[in-house]
Amino acid sequence: MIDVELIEKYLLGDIAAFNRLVWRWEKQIYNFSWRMCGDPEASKDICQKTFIRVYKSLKKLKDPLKFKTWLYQIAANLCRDEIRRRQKHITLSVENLQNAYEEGAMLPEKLISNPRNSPEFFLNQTNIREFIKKALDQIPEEQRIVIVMKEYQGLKFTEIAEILEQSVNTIKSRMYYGLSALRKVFEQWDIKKEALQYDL
Amino acid sequence: MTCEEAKYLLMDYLYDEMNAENHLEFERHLKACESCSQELANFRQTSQQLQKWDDVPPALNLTFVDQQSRFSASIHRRWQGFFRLDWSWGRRLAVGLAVILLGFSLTNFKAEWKNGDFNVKMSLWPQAAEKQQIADLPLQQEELAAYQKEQLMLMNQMIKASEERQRKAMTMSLINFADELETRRKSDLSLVGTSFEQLQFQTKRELKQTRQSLDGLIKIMQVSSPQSNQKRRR
Repeated sequence: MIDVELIEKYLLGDIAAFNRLVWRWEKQIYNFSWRMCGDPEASKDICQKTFIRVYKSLKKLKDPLKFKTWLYQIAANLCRDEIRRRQKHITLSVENLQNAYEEGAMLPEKLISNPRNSPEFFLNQTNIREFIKKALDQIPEEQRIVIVMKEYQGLKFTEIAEILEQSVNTIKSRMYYGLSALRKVFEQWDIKKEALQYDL
Repeated sequence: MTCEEAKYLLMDYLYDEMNAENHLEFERHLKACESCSQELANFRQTSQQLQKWDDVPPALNLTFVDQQSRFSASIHRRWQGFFRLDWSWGRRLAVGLAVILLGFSLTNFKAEWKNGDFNVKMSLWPQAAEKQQIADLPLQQEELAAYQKEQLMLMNQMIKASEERQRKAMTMSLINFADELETRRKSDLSLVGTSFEQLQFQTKRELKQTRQSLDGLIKIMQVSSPQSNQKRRR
């Protein structure tokens, strides 16, 4: 409801209300873009473009209650454009899994042997982030976007379906197969449960 | 409920989006089916692993200001409109008119109809009275003042927005600093506690050893003292 109030104030001419709206959502949109594209600079760019589009088109939004899904729709489209611009084509294939294993091959030994004795390698946020990002890069984009929206943005299946303009069953199916694929990636890299649950 | 049906409901259950009606039946199925229970546990584990990737602050300074002032916007529109003319005929017309008007203004062209007479005057230098009129131009001055006022308002808005952002950032920094300080204090206290425990343990051990030594010594003395008494009696 706060969003609706801010939108109404902005439509009456209060630019400060629009800025408050931006500051409420910029962290979420930025982290969403980052998890989709993987590049902090590109994510900042996407975040700015998203809010510029919102600024230009907010007056055309018929239902302010749909602001959240509309915002994510804009961000998702921009992310897709960025990914296609980089000509990334990620599929779950044996070859990709093998490459992922080789890239991640330096991880398992230190982790499996005694993760508690190698904090300098893995047990900080940067490495966890890189590891999960690599794993997400191994699954198809359509599954990845559903997982990111569900796990990190906390959106409901109905909201994700509205954003991506798909049926709810399709979204749940992508989530199911996406999580299954990620589990296989984790197993392929032979990462033990304890290693990822270790906290400093 | 079959496993096939349960599979479709797995995501709803995992993310707490299941309705009450299906919830009971699904849980009943989980209790009876090890395979589905294991699959759910696997998904839960994967989800928990994914949650290790925390959000980061964006470090952006997005601030929007009002659109252009009416004065500058109208100037901008007019300027853009000028370049949208159809150059094939409009250009000729516009250029021609511009030249004519320029000529009139340069030559201080003046045409008047008075008492049946039509007079036309042209001169390179403006008359004294006209000079005074040109010099006044109150309308342009008013527009300039309005433009300056709007610019000032814009700047004030930007400054206010920037101040609010800085205040917010400062508050967050202080909160983070306080949290970090508290964490370190607890960690230090824990370390001190551990050290005291170790010291206590060591002290007890040494005391025990000392006691054992003393006990041994006392025994020896006790053993040796009856023997010496016997010798004395002999």
